[in-house]
Amino acid sequence: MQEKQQHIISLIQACKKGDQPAQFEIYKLYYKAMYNASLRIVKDSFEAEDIMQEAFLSAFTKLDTFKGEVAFGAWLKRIVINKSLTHLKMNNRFIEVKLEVVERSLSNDEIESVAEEVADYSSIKAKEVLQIMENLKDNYRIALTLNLIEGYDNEEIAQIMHISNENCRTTISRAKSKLRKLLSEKTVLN
Amino acid sequence: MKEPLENIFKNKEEFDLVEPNIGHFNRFEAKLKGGKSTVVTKRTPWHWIAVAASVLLLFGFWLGKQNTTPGFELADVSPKMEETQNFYLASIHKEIEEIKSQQTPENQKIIEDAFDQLKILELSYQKLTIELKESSEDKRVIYAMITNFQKRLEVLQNLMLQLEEFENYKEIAKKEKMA
Repeated sequence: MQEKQQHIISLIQACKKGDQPAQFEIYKLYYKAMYNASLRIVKDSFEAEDIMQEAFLSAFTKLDTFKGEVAFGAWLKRIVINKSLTHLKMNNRFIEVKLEVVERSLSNDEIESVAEEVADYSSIKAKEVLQIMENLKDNYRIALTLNLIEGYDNEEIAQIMHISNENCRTTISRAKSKLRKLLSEKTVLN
Repeated sequence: MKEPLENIFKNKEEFDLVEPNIGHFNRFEAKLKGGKSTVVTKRTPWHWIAVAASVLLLFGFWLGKQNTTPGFELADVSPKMEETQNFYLASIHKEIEEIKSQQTPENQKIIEDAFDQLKILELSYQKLTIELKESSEDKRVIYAMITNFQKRLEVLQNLMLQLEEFENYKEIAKKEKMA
């Protein structure tokens, strides 16, 4: 692990000098995670590839701004995600849902308690979860991807999606309970 | 306690299952070498057109900014609100005209002070127009806008009183001098 980190750091140093083989090496290391992150947002393989590659290129050109306070992968992924969301917005497919603000929203505990009934997800495969998520509406899908798969916290997601913290929390809760509902339907079917 | 839903996502790598379409390495290498790949060059003119268009658009906004706001005016809500807005705007305008006619070098400072306050209120009104648009005509924003107009009138009326007092004070001072 230590060695791998060291390797990546030296590759990044080389990339900064415009070393193309090093850039290609970095691409090989990260393309898959980045491609999948983009694909989960834009849902189109050609677009996802294009966005992912553009993200690498723009990462290389602004590598000087990468100070290393986060891992390179995390830094790169943020670029990929921002680009993907911009792309989605440009195609008008990402309709920002203004929640009928949170006045009448369920408290988190309420939502949480609904879900605990079905607890056995052990048989469910990642692929199936992804399929279910793909069919959720855009803002649910994005919030869940960012939260559950990319591992961003509420504040970060609010920032990425340009919504208020409160709005974000509600969106995530609702999206989760929707996902739980669909998952439990699926386990019943099996 | 970790909830079960999060457990599914414990192993994040599992979720990166899809490979890009075949040939992506070559396509990326081309992009890397060319600096500008074919795909990119094809797009470039559009970028420039987009930039040019946005510059034009911004210029247009700038031109239009004198009498319009980026958000919704009160008048955009309903005809009744339009009436309200027109009423307030007309009253404010009338008061301002009247004050300007009374302006002298001596009371200039007082007037400028009040006008500064008006400017602050106008700015917060501009913000409210944006909020009104974003909140899809929230009643509270509408109410805040009306209050904003009322405050502006209040400022002007206070100014009128101050000016009157100032005049009175001048008269008294004059009389005292005479006596």
